Amino acid sequence: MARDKSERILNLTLYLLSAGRFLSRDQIRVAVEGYAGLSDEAFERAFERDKDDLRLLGVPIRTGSNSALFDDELGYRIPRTDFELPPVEFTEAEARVMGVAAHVWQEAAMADSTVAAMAKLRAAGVDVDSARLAALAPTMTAEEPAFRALWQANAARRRVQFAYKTPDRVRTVEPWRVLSRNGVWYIVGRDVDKDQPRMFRLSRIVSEVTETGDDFVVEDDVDLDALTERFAPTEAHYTAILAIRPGRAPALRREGSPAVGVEAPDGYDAWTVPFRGLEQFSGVIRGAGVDVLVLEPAELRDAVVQGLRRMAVSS
Amino acid sequence: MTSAAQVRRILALVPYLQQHPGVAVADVAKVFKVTTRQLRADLRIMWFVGVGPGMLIDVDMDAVESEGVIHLSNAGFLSRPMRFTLDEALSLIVALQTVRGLTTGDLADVVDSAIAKLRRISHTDDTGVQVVVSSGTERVRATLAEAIENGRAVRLEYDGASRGATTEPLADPVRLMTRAGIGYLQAWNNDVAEWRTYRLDRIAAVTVTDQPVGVHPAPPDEDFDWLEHGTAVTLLLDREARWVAEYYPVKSARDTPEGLRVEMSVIDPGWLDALLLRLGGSAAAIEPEPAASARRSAQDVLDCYAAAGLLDPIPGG
Repeated sequence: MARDKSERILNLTLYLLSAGRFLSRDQIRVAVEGYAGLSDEAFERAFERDKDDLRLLGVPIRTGSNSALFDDELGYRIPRTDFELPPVEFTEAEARVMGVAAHVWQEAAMADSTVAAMAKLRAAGVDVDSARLAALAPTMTAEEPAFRALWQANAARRRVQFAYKTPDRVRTVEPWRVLSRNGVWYIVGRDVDKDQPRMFRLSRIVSEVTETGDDFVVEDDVDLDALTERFAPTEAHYTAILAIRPGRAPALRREGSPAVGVEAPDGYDAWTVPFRGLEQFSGVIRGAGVDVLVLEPAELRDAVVQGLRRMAVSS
Repeated sequence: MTSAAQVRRILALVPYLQQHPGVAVADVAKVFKVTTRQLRADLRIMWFVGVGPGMLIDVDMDAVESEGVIHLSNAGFLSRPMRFTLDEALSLIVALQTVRGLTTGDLADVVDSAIAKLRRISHTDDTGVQVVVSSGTERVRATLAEAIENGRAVRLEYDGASRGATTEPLADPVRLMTRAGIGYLQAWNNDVAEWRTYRLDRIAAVTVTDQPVGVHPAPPDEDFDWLEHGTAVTLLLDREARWVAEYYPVKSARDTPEGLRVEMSVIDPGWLDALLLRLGGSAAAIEPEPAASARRSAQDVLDCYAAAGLLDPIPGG
């Protein structure tokens, strides 16, 4: 059954591809093996389903008429230029990095897509190096349940709905860009109800992602790179003066510079270090334990100390 | 095996087999990631496929059965593969962007030109996907790539995982890799004589030495499963600390009235201490020992503030 279906769809494809002109349903029914024995009704059903299946595979089936004058009978064809992979040549070095890229995806559906793409390239005569560049071993994963649906909606330019953070907060979003930053998947897009660009973290989506049935276009004046940058962590705005034990907390020292003319407690050096958010930075400082104390500003010191006191009295 | 996947594969197989006359069945199966049994089934279908009755593809099934090689003829009407679907093009472009995150210099240019070519043939002038890998500075990556290429040991300036000081291991670098969007160097640490991975964004500096890399047992190929090692610790996370469950690998996570209850595996108790200090009371360890240890550490820091005269009196106390 599945085998008959594969045969029939392939024969339909090759017949429409080779004719070089529009073919009527009657011609197709006679010529394509597998349609011949069917009743009118069964043929219509099978033909419609086969066309849908082929379009899902990306086979470009066009409808039209060979004659500008008599367009009453609709015909079908697959234009060769739309069907075939355009000519392409890759250098040896490019083929090598593509060989590395072929092994990157760890997520099953994406890995399948890469395998299919590489097979097409090889079929086009590109000699893709299957041996990895031994010195490079990048991988990519996408474990968030929302990934697949958003990936497809982004590619097809379709609006989606999902609950974000809590089940009652449903957002309608145009997924303009799917973004992986430091291993975390986000979408950047337009929140339709707020009519504002927003960034959403996939792991915080708490429902299924459903398509609303509406298409969207990203307007030409939208600068996706600038937008993505806007949602990225910003530059440091504030400055702290920290007491750091000699040789400790290297990451903090590297961000800052020795504070001149500031007296530090015994066993510590004074450093000037820039930071962004108070909450986040107070956490970083607490994490450094006794190696780092806050001298200024007082708000930062209070935030650090409050957390420590909460911990010290907890049972 | 759905017929859709089979149709997609056969449409690529026909031009591939014409490009590679006499290719071995086993090799083709590897390229298309199918079993040889599945491949034979594909070949038998091809036999019944063509542009019309009497114009079918000819597969030399004798050669397939007796010599294990494939010869195809009468298939000139399908000499080129199909265009990429959007999914195929984008998955490959994202994969290349990931590779790009580890490369520098000439190799980075090569990756860029490969991406440009893929965009051109797939008509995806697409900015809809983007990958940013956390992989340290260009300079660190370039120096490491050069050392790997020339087989030289390197001196790293490395910020350790938990709090503390910079270490300066002498390491034999073998490869740059990513795990979950973070770039790492895999190298033999000569000081402890073990394979180690170093986060690229924590390598502050690299110096290439004159010392050639040594001969070592093969590096661990598969992902080291952190969850299978270390001590199990259960944390109760308040709302502000929920990010921990997203940021670190956890064995399980479930919402309870008291907060999000997560099970983690901890290798270095110092790391857990530092994490709990950082969370400042918005997370608590269930097990008595790590909880007490974190409490002591918090008190130690408070004592330091007090000794330095930096503490206001405890409000109300």
